[in-house]
Amino acid sequence: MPQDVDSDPPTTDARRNLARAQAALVATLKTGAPRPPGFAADQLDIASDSLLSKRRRSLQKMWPTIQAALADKYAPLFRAYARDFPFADPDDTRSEGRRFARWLLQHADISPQTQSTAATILLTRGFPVRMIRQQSGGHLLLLRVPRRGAMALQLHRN
Amino acid sequence: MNLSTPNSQTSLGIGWRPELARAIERRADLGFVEIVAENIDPRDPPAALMALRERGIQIIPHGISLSLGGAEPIDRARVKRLADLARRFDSPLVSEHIAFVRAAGMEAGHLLPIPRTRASLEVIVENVRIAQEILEVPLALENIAALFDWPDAELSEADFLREILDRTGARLLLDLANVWANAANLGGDGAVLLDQLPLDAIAYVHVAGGEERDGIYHDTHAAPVSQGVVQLVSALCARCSPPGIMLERDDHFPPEPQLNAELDAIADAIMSGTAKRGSDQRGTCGPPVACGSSQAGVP
Repeated sequence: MPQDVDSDPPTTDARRNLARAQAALVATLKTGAPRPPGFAADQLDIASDSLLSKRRRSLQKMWPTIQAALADKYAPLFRAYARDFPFADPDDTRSEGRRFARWLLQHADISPQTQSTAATILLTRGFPVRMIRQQSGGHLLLLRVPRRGAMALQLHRN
Repeated sequence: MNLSTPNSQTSLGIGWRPELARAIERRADLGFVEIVAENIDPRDPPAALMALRERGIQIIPHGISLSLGGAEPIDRARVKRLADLARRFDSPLVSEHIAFVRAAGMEAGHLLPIPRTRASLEVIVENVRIAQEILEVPLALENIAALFDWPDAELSEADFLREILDRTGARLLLDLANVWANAANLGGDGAVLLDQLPLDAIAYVHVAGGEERDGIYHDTHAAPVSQGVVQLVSALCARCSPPGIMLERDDHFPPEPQLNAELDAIADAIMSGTAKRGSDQRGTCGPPVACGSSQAGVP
């Protein structure tokens, strides 16, 4: 019998059981929830680290400044942040950037330079930004907004 | 589908990324490029892509977020986006993965393997069929790299794949780097797996680089293609001529000469593998398999 294109398939036992198993697995990989029976602990640890590192790399790709500012502290701080926010929309790195910036400003003991970088991410609403000149008393920013061109922004510090 | 250029049975391709656009534009021998569906707006595609299309280069939309192996009903909007892209670029096919990426509203953030059980097979077959109803072009399904095994597998990797393809009529996007990664991390022999896979269903082939950390091979697409993967290209082409083989590079983009050298190495491996088959053919082996030749309904 042909499947109606606009109606979802019936929830069979196969789907129900698979849904439970997949949810338990994702919870383990992302939140450290107890490991479902039968899986190898070392394999799941590696997979969990790999998911975290992929997420961290996609953030630093959009925001190399935050990685540069945090240097050695970037990876451990991102790990701590991900414990508070285990899930992210992979299609929305901008939101992740803003959330991480806000978390850094609220939770982490970070340098003034990192505070400034984090504040910039929030100020530019997570759009990629390139600083073209730094003046005494403020920053001149060039914002590159994807597919919408560039704009200049002057930041003043008290 | 015909991805081939006039000079060779196997067409050379690459994953199109904005960072590589200029190098891709200047490379004359590419027959196709693959685009990540989630990153290209069908209503407003990059001009560089439209220019490639006008040159006759095929463009294949590749989805990463359909979660075809997921227990939840698939999101039709994501399938429609693939369909829209295929229409926009007049694509011969689209592709996705044998994987799931979310469960109970939780995004995993990457492709995860599904259990190789009869029950899981029922679910993915049903999901694939729903996607196929919406798509106007054939769908190819990719084998993924997994860092862990589900317990209680009822089918081998090759049998599981073959069942999915047989029951849906989908074609195979064979990722050789993933074959390599799984053999390295979970055991097995990549070349032996090639003998078990349904090579006649191949639509095209992925090749990529990765890196080894603490004894684990990570399929990062951020490093040069390893020698072992290049050898698998050659081993595959010694068995059959896939319609297309492409390089995936997603990060740490190399300078243009290095990128070209990697594409050249893949092209060389295609040639050397094909040449090997020629001599075998004169020996005791049967006629070469033309990958993809036995699939009906593909233009």
